[in-house]
Amino acid sequence: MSIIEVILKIFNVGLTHYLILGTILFCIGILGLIISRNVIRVLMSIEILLCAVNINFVAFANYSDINNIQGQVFAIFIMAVAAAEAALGLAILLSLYRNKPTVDTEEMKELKG
Amino acid sequence: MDIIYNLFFYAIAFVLVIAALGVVFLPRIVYSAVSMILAFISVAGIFVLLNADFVAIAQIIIYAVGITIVMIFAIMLTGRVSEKKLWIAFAPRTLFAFGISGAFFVAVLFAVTNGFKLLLRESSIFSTTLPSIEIIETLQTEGTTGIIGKALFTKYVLPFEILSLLLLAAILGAVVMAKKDRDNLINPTTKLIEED
Repeated sequence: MSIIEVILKIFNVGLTHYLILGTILFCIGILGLIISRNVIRVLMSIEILLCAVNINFVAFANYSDINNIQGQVFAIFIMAVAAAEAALGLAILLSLYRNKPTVDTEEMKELKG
Repeated sequence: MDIIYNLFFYAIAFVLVIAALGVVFLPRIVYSAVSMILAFISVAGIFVLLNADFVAIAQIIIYAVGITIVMIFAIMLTGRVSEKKLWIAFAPRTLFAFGISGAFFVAVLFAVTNGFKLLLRESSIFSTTLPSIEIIETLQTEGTTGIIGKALFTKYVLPFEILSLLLLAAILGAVVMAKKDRDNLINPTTKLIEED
């Protein structure tokens, strides 16, 4: 097997590549969740985490359950939960902003976090 | 056909990773929001590559339009101008976060490739069957909406109804929490009104 064949085999897209893409997105989401100083950016990172999970669900639905695609149904459920989470998170943020006008995560220390 | 599929996958994945990094590392929060729109649209493209047309359209409608508009409204409603440039925190937890996410990435990469061995083979450790051409043609001509709808209203009807209750509760909770509390107003604008 020559080197070119090996490289072509590695780069031929399969389930593993989608899982690796989902993992990269998940790691970026965790990174943004912890290191960012803006509360709105923390909420954006949570949305990216949920997108990574959705990619994994849909990839498994395509590659191992193509006849009755149940992973896509779960992806729809996750989207609805994500919409509810975004609405509630931003409502909490607005209510918090009314009490203490800042969006800096370093300033929000009332819970000693 | 395979080469075109691979090219589309790598192009969309590249844009997706760059946009997701932009959400975390761009200095201004408005740029992050715009980058988030790009990331969500790229995720919809990934879904199209996976024969999931209904999920892709739902992704664009819910994420790339709905959630982004809510985020931009939150950006406009909160934060002074000086605070719109808040960037990453230079604290010990930053190093901790880099370590944790790097370790997680290496661990999952090790797991899904079965110790980096499966990169050389076509198969996967998961019991997968490549979708046959007839099924893909059926999916691409008829769409997946019918299958998802049947599953939602027969097998998953109870989670579906619970989900509708959850959305109702989320709407009511958001209204209650974002409503102004008229008894103890600490808002600076209302203080101005009281002084008048």
